[in-house]
Amino acid sequence: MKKKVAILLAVMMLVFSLAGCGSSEETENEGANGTESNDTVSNNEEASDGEENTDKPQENITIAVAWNSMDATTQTRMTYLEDHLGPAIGVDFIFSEEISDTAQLMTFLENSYAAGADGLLSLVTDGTEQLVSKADELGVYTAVVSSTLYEEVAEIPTYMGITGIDLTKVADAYGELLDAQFDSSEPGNFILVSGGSAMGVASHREATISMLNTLQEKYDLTYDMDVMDLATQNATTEINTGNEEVKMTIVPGFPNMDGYVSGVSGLLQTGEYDAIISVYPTAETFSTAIDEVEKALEKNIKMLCQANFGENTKQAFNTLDSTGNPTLDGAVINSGSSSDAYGVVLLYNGIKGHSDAIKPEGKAIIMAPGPLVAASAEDYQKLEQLDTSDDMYVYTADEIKKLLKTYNEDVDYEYLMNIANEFSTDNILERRGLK
Amino acid sequence: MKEKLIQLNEQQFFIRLVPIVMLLLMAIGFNIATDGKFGDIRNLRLIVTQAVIIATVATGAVFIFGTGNVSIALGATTAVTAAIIAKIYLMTESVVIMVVAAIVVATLIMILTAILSTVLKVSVIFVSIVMMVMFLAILQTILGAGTITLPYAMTSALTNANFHYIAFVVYFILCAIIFHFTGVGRSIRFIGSNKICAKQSGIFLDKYLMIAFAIAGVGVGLAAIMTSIRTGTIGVGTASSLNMDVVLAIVLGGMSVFGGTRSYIYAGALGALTVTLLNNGLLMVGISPTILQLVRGIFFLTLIFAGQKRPDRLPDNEI
Repeated sequence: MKKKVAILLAVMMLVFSLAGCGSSEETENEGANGTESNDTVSNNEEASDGEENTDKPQENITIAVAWNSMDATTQTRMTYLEDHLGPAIGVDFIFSEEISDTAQLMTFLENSYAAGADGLLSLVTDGTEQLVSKADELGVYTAVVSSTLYEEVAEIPTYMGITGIDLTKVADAYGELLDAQFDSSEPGNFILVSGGSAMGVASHREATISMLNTLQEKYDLTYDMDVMDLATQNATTEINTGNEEVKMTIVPGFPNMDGYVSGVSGLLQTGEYDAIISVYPTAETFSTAIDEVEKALEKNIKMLCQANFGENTKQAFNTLDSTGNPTLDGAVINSGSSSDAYGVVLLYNGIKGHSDAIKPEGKAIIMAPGPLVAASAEDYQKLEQLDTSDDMYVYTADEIKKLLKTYNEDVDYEYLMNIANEFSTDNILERRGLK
Repeated sequence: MKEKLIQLNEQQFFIRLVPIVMLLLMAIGFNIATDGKFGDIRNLRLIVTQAVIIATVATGAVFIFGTGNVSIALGATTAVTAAIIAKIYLMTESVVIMVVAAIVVATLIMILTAILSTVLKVSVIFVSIVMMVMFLAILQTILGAGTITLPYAMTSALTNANFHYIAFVVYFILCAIIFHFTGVGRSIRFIGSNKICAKQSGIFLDKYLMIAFAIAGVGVGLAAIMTSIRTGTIGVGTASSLNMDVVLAIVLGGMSVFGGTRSYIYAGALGALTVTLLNNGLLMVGISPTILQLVRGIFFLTLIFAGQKRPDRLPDNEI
């Protein structure tokens, strides 16, 4: 009997394995629009863009992507890369599972290299120095979706740069969101979710500092500690605000930590808090806890957080809670697909031998999309179509092609910086014909 | 025919052969599926490099498994040791002190687990659960709000000097001698086979449990150094998946989860190779990450079903 079960499992295993292989081929063919093999990008395509002109078709390059989570947003980003961007510019992708520690990241790098990867885009930021150095030894180009450049390794030739959110604009974005949502004449109590601020995640730290500063100014608060120290608290801490009408609790960490969600839920159940403001996407994470308290106490608890474009955010803005308000009241939008697209741009140019053009001083560069603000559900209605279909990606494949020197001779460091600096709500709406 | 198969399955050489045959079959299968890319010498070297850390801890853990006990704090012990030695290196900048400290710290931690188990008369697995939680808290305290980064010059120098290969080979040979050619190994296997009988034969259970943990501690210490030089960064996630990989490696290596006479020192290394080879092969074949866990689970279940033989009666170990 045992052997029979073993054989049955073996057959199932084989079927699943083949199913996995089959799907990737299918993707490749779909990408070629059924007219030509997607293993190459034809010379006609290049010629049509009026740029580099060689007789030989170009071979696909392979980029591995190391994910730090595996949720609905990640799935959207995978679809964008694999089904939209990859086929159009001749890039095959190898995706990791959720990577939680540096050893797994190094193993993924090595296995991807063995599988033929030319570049690695990493969303895992721990151990970047080691990753970049090891990748350079293997001849694999790297880019990291991070807001910190890692100066120690910035001059390594194969390290192309970072494409995390533009740090200089994070504080302004959160300031704008909080200004739009809260009135200085109506004090409230706040839970500030600081995520990885205490662990060195620069964008989280900037966001938390901005929240503290904005609320301090708005309600004339007096903290008993430095704002930086408050922002980097590594345990749940109630802040002394010097104003009896304003209560504030900092909650560091992430939902995958033991007791994290139940801890926030416990705070909400006290009935004292009016809003949760978070540095990362939490609309889904805390929706049940908020809903329970709203129903029990018949009060609205505002949810303001970071979000990505896509169906989940659209749904969160469009779904009303038991008090008749949107589940998500406002958001700072970090376009994950844009960070990924910029990462592909850096890696593609490097792999194709154009590092010198985009790294003028031989140093890794920062190509960062700025955060966007949707201060209300109405604001988001203009943006809700983004990243939900092929025509509505923040950057379509045709636009990305223009950022690759292989297709556009004009591409250099300044050209890329201009594109990144133009990144704004108006710019996106105009490009997508939504204005 | 069926009887012959059963007889074959009872034979020691067959039991020992199954994991090796499975490993070879997997390797051949992946090689065919990847048009020979899998068998490339560079890829095989990568697999061996990746397997070494798991193999080192698993080789030591065979001693613990051999007594019929299971510890699930091996990963957490490795992480705490790695954090401590990283701090020590940054203070002293001495590789020798770091290596000595790693072995001493890990061995002491492991002995502490064994002492708690024997003094409190609580099963090793329950003590190890408590220790694991405690070590993670200690790790968080040591690391504070960040990570510890070691200089790349040091980590690459040790890597280029093949520290991990040399340390593993020396440790493996020592373990093999102790486990298969000394009274200590025989006693440990005897305890795993039948604790009561071993006790009545004059074997001191607590003493051998302590020895088993001390030997495993040396392996954990070496693995902590290997982890530190491989990743260069120690964070709260360090070695988070190591314990599961070690347990899986020992089982896939053909060792009985009940310990005893079906315990072989090479089981850990062989199983580590199997786990690593499977992860590498599945990625090269192009399995989607969304179903990778499922496919891997089916592989593991198949290998365990085919390779494991349950004892005819329930084990006599107290819980």
